[in-house]
Amino acid sequence: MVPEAHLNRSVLVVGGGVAGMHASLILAAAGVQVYLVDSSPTVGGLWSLLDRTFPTHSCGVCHMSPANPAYCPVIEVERHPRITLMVNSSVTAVSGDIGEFRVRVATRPEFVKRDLCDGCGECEKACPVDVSVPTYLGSSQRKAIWRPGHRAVPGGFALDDAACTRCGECARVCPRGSIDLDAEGTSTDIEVGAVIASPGVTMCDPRARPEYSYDPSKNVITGLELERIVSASGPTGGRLARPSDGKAPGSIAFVQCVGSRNRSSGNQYCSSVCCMYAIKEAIIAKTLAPDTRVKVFYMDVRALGKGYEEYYARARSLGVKFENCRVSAVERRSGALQVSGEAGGRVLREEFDLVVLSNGLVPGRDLGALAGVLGVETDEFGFIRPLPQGRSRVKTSRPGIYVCGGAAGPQDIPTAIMWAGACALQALRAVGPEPDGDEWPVQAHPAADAQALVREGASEGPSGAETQAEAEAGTQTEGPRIGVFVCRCDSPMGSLNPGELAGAVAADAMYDVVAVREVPSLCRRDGLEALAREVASHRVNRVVVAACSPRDVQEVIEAEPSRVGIARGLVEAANVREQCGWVHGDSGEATRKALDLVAMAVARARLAKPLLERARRIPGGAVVIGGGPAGMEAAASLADVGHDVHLVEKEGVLGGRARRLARTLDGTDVREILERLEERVRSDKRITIHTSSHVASVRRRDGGFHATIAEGPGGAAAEIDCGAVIMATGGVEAPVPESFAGSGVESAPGVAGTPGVLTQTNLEARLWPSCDVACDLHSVVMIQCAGSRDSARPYCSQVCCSQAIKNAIRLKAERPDVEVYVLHRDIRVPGLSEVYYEQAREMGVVFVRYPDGSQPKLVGDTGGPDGGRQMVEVHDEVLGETLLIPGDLVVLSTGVEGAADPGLARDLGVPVGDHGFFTEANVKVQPVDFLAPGVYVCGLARAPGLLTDALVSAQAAAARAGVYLAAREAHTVAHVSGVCARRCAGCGVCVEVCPYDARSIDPETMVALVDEYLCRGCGACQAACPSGAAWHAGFEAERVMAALDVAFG
Amino acid sequence: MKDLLIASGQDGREKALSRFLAKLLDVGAVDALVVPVEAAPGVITHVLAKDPRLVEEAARPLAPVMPSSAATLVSEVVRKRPSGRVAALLRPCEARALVELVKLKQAAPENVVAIGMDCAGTYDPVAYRQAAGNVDGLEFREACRVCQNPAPLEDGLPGITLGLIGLDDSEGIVMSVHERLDPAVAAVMEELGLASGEGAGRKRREAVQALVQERQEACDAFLKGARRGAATAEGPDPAAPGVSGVPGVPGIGAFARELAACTGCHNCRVACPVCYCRECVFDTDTFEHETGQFLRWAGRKGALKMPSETMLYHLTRMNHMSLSCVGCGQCEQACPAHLPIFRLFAMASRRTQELFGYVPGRSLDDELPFTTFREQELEPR
Repeated sequence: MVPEAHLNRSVLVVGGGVAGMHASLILAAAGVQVYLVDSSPTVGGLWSLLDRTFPTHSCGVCHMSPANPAYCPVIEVERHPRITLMVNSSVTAVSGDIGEFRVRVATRPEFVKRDLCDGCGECEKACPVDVSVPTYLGSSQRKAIWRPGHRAVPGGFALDDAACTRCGECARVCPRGSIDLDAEGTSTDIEVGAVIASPGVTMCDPRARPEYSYDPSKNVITGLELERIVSASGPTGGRLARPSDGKAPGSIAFVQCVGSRNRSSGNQYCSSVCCMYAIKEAIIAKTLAPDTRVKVFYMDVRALGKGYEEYYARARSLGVKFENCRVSAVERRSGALQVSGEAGGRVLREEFDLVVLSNGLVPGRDLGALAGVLGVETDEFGFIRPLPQGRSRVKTSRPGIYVCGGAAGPQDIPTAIMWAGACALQALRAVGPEPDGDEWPVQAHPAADAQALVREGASEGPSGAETQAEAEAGTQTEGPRIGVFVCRCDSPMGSLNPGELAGAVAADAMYDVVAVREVPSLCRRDGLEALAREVASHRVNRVVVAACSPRDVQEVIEAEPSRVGIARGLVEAANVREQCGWVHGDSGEATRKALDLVAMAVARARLAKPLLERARRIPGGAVVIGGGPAGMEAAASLADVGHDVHLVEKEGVLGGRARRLARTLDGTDVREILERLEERVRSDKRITIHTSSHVASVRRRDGGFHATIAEGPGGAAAEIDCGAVIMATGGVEAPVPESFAGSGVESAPGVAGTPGVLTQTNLEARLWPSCDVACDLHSVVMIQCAGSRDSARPYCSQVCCSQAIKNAIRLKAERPDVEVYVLHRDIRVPGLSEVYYEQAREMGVVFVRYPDGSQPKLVGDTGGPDGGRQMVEVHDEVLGETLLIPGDLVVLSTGVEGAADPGLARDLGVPVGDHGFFTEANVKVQPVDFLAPGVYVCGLARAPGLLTDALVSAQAAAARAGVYLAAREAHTVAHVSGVCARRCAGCGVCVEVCPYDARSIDPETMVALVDEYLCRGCGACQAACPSGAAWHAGFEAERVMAALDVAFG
Repeated sequence: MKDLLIASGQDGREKALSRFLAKLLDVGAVDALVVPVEAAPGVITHVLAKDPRLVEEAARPLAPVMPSSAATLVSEVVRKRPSGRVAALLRPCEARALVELVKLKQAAPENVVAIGMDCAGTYDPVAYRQAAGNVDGLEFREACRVCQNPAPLEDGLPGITLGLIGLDDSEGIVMSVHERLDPAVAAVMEELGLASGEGAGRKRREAVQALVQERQEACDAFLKGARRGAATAEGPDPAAPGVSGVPGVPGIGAFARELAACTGCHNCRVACPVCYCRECVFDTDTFEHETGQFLRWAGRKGALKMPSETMLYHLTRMNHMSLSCVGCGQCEQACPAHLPIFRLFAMASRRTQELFGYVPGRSLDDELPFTTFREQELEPR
């Protein structure tokens, strides 16, 4: 081990997709220097090709950032002062050990100097070389010097080295001398304390299955290609069209498991994401064209994730058909495409206009090489091998190197995000705590730069009231002097020409506008510098930028007000890129609308007032509620990164529900996992363990939480102040459903029931450590979905299939002669665990699929001296027959239910969903956060899932809590809401609509109150309040009215 | 709920009811009572009564006019807690408005004993006054003629219900006590020793059913006619943009024509029982403009309708209130220009309320649609 003082507090992240960006942003927020390396010219990864994500059908990726308000992570990773972005680069050597790695990064030649190019486009006009590049659905033409697509970050031009003839025309015309055709690749040596490998995955080649006739020009396409077709930025502008002739397809087939779950013609494992992306695309197709016939041919619908089963149900309710059928061929027949296969014992042939192949995920082409450089082991499929289940899974075989995202095996976005969080946590551990933990204020917040941040109770600096008054006085001494700046965006602005717009604005001679200028991209240093120069020379005191989304550009400018010379709140943005250039084909029309948007922004700017943010110190330490594996892991992880933790468990012993489990699916002993976790929490001096205790009350106080922890009923109570709370309260085994309750199921040890009928967990308890089932056992029947995926509990419990397969394999190994039947609707095992499903089948376990709504029944016993064997009646969907199967043991997979404490949830202001699981902030990219700051969730308290997933989520929650605590202060947003007491009628509508629990009604005065530290400035209250009593800084009624007046007056 | 009978004495059932109400005050079952009285022949107004004798003498609980919505009056008395226990005689529309006000925290329900009563309809107060209370030849107000709720709803505020429909003056009044009524008040009812009203109750229920049926048909016909009328009766205006985009639903142009005579007095807002703001945004400086602003507006379009902002005012009120609109028609009754405000609100609220499956005033357990979010609530059905 390296002594703590010598630890290098920087981390290398390899791969800038969703996982890599998330890990980078967490680490940067925690004060760590990050090197983010990506082999492509831009960051974003596979995600940037997706049109939208389910279930919200939005992009939503901005929610992943720990910053609040956050903007697009693609931009954030580029401009964060603690992230060094290295694109076109790859890691070529890694030496040293955890805490002191030396890494060599090779960067391909930078023919166009990024810090010089301002995206003027002269080079493109001059370039004589036409290049035809393959795109989704054919090819497109561009020059050898070209600009990568929408939202490419970093922006600017790129040179196609292979196509370039070195004629030198571009270098000759470039007004800024930014092109160097002789540029050479560079090599950089960096030192880091830890490495996170997140290089992502690749979609497998659909031609691996020639019988599916993949050919985009002939209407057999991949899911990702359909994603482009339905995208507004895609080739048809979002119209559902088939590639061959651009006509709307009357029917679409999705063929699942292309290149997955098939050892002979692809990969043995399940790719985990294809079922859900196919369902999403099917829903989008149905939404775009409701009359389209859409059918999904599947093997098992693996809706394995929170809310996924419900989303699957939504597809069916929209009329998407699902056919259990392994497609054998797709053939062209007189204009149509014939899909054939076998389903339910008969040959199926059906014709479609468009066939979408759901091709699976494979390790990236360069993953093997990267693994070699990193010195980490790979598995039989070529993925980087994580530690076994139950351990800190994100660790690789080499200490200090961690893996997340698709490089560790197929992962969907929430899983990748949680793994990325866990990686960040491990990396934070590896680089050690921040030195000097007690100083406050800290300089972590960007607004600290500009005096736009007022620290309450800090010893130095002016009070908020004074600063606000001074700032306002400053802007009031002189009338508004507005500068309008048109951004010459690095991305194409579509049909809009920035120069033309600037001319049009200047010609319009708007009131109070003293300067109109076109400036280089404001995402770039020289853009901001040009802006600052103009502001100074024209004594501009309010800025209007005509650029992209305010979410991007406004934040970029306001984050560094001192550099621009404009206070926070005095910048208005007109989104002329997304709202004009990208959506209007006609340049004149785009310019006219852009001019209107600028005029509206000018009207708003005229009334703008400076905004202040407030900060206050938050207490340190955290309370983790729940002492199961997730709670223990969260507590130990938080303690590992230097925070004090109180761990509260209601039982007398730690371990929770997991104590009833014996093994994970890969055979790891659960008891060992629990013992190791318990050893970690018991030996850590930062952790105080409260067993036989519960949180009697918890409420927000002084920027943190005040919790009362009561020991036993009426026992002693401990009063604790802390800055964060992690909910790890777990779930419960679902009760035996009504339909089986009559059979007296043995659902807990020692409970007598009908002989031979028991729950899956009870069977597990009999199988380990020694196999305690009768030696003359003849047959065992397992009934899956006994109470899940029905109207009462519409979600999938996610654990039952794995548990059944694990128990079936054990039974077959210990009692080879026993017949094991698994009656199921879909076998749902995640990703690489497919091998165990295959192993079970090879061992002779019989899987019988029964259709939805026809649950197997117990129809009495066979008689005999011991009550005989239970008879199970099941409808076999494949054979199309009803079977009677006798079982010495009938095992019910009853699933799990949430057990969120509604009182606790109310006190903390966090929501609970329909089935007792907490509702996270964003199911896709904020899986362990709540909207309310300082509260996090992990394990079964969040969603049904396997033990392994629970442990990863616990580390992710610890990472988020750790970053929050490390900042040591909580912030308001600038656009905070307020109340005009005179107008407030106390009706409470704002309280109900506030998603952040920031509002309440004062019972004395019957007037609404705002907790400024909870308010995130979303505006819901202002929209809902009929009295005009709710307002938002920056969105005052008069400013909105002024803008509307310009637009419609 | 058991049916009891308040028998008509020799002086008719209204007097019998007054005596019953006076009794409630007398025995202390309630602290005060909001009840209509006749101030002069044909002049009806509400009082907050504490003196049982006054109630017995002057109350006109069955007077067929609604000068103000009692919901507004009760809310003024019991908005803040704690106060005394106030009973109020409420027509079905008033009771439903009060439920909405409770949801909006403008009345503390624990302070209210609701005395709901059947209402077949009311007359315009001015006409009633001019006729000195003689209703011969008078017609119920339009809102009442198409009212689908002539009887109190069962899940409303806890209290008692007075059944009148289908019973003539000599047959008395059927009374039933709400299950959730404060036991202390319920006990008083027991002590009154009222006879069973089972037979009368059955007769009244059948009459209510028939009336509701009749009114539903009347209302459907009314709305259909109103829509067609708004779209065509005054002649299509080619310049009027059909913003609604829904066939058969007139656009903003028709709306503007209907409201062109608005004087901007805001009486409809004052009369509306569910318009609850402390200070209406239209009374604030948000709508005080500089001279130059007025001239700019007038310049842009050639002319500016004066008083300005009347259209925005009605649209805003409709936006705020259509979900909670109980269709009492007080807005139109209060309008000095006799604008068809009830008709416009009825058309809008039918659609918005159907969209969210919301019935204003039905139950305290129904959440206000504004305060809830369902992912697909606005998708076309």
